[in-house]
Amino acid sequence: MVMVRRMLEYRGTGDRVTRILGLVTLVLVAVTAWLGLVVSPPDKVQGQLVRLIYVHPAAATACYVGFGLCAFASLAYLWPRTRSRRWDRLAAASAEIGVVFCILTLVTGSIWGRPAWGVWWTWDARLTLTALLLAVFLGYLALRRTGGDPDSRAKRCAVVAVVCALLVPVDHEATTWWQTLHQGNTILRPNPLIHGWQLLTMLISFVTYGFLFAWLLVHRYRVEVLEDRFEDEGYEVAIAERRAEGGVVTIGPSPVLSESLSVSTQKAGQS
Amino acid sequence: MALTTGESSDPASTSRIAVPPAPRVVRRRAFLGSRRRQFVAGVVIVGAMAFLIFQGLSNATEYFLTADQAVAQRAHLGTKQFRIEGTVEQNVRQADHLTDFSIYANGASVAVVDSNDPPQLFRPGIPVVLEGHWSGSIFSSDLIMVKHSASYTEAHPDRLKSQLPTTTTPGEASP
Repeated sequence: MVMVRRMLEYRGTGDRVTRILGLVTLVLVAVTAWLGLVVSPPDKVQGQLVRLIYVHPAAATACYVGFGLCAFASLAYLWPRTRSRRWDRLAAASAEIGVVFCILTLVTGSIWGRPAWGVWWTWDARLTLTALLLAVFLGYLALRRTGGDPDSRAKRCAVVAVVCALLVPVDHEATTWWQTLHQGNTILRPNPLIHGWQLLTMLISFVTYGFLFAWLLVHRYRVEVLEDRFEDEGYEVAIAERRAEGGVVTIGPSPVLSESLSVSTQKAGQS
Repeated sequence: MALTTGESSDPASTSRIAVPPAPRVVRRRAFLGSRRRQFVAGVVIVGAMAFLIFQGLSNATEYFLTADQAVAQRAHLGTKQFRIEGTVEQNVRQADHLTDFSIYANGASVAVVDSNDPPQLFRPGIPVVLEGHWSGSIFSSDLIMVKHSASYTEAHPDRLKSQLPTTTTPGEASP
């Protein structure tokens, strides 16, 4: 009960910085929507379908960044000199956000593919590898939910994350290495194949997704901190309450333990 | 009162202090808390990955043949289903749910008959990937997929400029 009360008293994961970040993100989303839907002209070949380019590539990039950051944090956790639960939390948070953006990528790609290509889905290298990327990182998130010692679990998950993230560059280069229905790179080349308002809107969409990613990451990381705290202190409180009910005092209690014990001892004295 | 443990060595003290049974601590089991659930989750994930890798590897390495490759391998391919890629020529004709056209790639041209409605972006001059098989010298297609390029061009780039209010500068002669 003490733990539940403490959780309810907690003010959440937001503070002034996240509120400003959220506000900037909201403004950027509105600007991107205005540029993408009103200002930017239709495409010569794709017509109005081109407007999905202001959603889909940025989502894919955010997905890659999420999985890349997860691998980086996992490597930092595995490296003995930098080992810290913070890296493990960052890996968990970024992987989860990466999965969200990966799903968004697949959904928007499918919505774009039906009218543009003529099919919702096809098993070409890019699409298959993106689906595989989603599957392996869902597996990684499932692995994080397994029980056991938190440190050994973190190590196990870090190794899996690094292996899974090897798919990211393969997925990105799939359109270059194999024949695909999916088109190749538009911007990352010496002469970009997009210009004017279309290019500007697309670049702003990348910035918008970057802010959205950062905002989500900060909140998700803080939720991870709360979960860790709940996991660590939950056991202590349960044991303390059990012992206090039996009128037993434990030496060297934690602050949480003391609070719980003092309440129980008072009750025992009254009875 | 005992310290550090819940058990007292003095039997008399045990009889004095009646220890009430502690309420059971109800802890919510984690989503993948049991070994059985972990096993099922593992089987599902491994199965999904095996399926995706199989599909990906069998398709990705040779997703399609270009029109010239398909012509060169016609005898070998027989009536086997495969994908062919090429650019649509100008002679597109549609009648009775059949689309009749030709595609070309690297100097080779292939006559195509498609039995389904083509996608929205299908038109002469656009690259397509077709699923179907050879019927003699004609490619019988049952699926047209448009393979649009990575380049984007604004349909009317001066649209915004034309919508801006026109201003007359001093000294400029008005009509």
